[in-house]
Amino acid sequence: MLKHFKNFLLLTFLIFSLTEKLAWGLDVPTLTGPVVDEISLLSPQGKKAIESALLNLNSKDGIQFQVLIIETLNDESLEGFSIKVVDEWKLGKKGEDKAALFLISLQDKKMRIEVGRGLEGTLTDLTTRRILNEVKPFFKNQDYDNGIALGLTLMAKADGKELDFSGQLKPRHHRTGSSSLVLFAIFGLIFFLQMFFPSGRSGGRGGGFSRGPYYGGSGWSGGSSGGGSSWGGGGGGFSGGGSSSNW
Amino acid sequence: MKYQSTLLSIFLLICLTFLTSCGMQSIPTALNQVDADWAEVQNQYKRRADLIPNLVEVVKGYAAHEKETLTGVIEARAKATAVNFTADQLNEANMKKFQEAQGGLSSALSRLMVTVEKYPDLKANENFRDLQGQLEGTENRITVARNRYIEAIKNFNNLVTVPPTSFYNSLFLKHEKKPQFAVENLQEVQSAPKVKF
Repeated sequence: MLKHFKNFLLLTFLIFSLTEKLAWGLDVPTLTGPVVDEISLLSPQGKKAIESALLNLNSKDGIQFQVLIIETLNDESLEGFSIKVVDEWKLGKKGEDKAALFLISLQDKKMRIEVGRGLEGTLTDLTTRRILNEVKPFFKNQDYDNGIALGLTLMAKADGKELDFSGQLKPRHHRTGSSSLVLFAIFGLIFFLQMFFPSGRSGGRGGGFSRGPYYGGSGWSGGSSGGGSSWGGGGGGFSGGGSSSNW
Repeated sequence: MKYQSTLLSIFLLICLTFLTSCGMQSIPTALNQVDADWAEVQNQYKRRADLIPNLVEVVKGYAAHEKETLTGVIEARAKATAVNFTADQLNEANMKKFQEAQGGLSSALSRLMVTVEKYPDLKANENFRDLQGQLEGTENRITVARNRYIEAIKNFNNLVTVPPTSFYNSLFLKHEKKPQFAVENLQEVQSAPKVKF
């Protein structure tokens, strides 16, 4: 009897995990920083320079650009995967929605810029298409560092902003004293809470209504929390703007 | 009558204990979401319709004698823009009308894009390529808006049909299930014209 029950449980679990897999297709990677490079396509220095430029852009202008590099789409559509990623990551602050995702799938030789609602006015479909055309030759030459850097620069430029690739991270120990200690504690607490009450997929299929804000406000903390700086979305909305291309 | 009022009071009691799970909040919220998502669907279809006059103008310059295809597009556009429903007007019949009108425009557009293949000069025209890019982007936005509407409807229908929120609905709100993008059109939806070159 007990054994039957066990088998039954196992079977249901299997079926559930299978359907989950089928329903979701490709998994959305974890958002670890401004550059999520699943296959280490970028050189370490390149990645570092790009990340610091994007961190600066976010703290200075409140615009969140994100790079995601994956190996393959596994026959999923580029546009479908891209919107799935931004729906889960919720890049940009809620209400402002000033964010964009630069998605690159290496094996498919496909790329897409997905534009958040708040940037659709300046980063139009047309502009993104032209930007991708500029990036193309770099990717053809397998110069991904410069290709991505150029793409991001042009994206920022379209909104009248500048990216600084000097690779200089903001000095970490600049702000000392009690205020930074308090900040550190707060960020630590947020980080701790997020670890135990993760937003996003925790609801499983039950949370099928994917757009509600899971936690308000801006989700990412500045560089002051040594080592544990968390970069995340703040509930930004996307509605399919942007453009795709191959190379 | 007596029976119903007892039922009501019992329900209200349950409501007070589980205020959020009874549907008092979630059903109107879901309804608002449906309205918003439907507005977005219409907004994106309108965006597509707005692109068409320019597109037709540019194509005319190079392929004036493809009159039939061009008038086909213009007529389909006129039909599509004439069919407008607010979210609460959407029953099965209206939904079908809407989808037919937009589907008509989709296929007219794809016919136009096939025709264009014969005109390399047109295809090389920068203006045309821009419009094509915009059209492509708009088709993607439509897909996104449509998927979100489908999700919103699913959520709403669940709330009004699945207990415990359905009890609240059948007692007080009496909302009906809303029509989904119909299944018989699934083929059409999935083979939406890819404007890619």
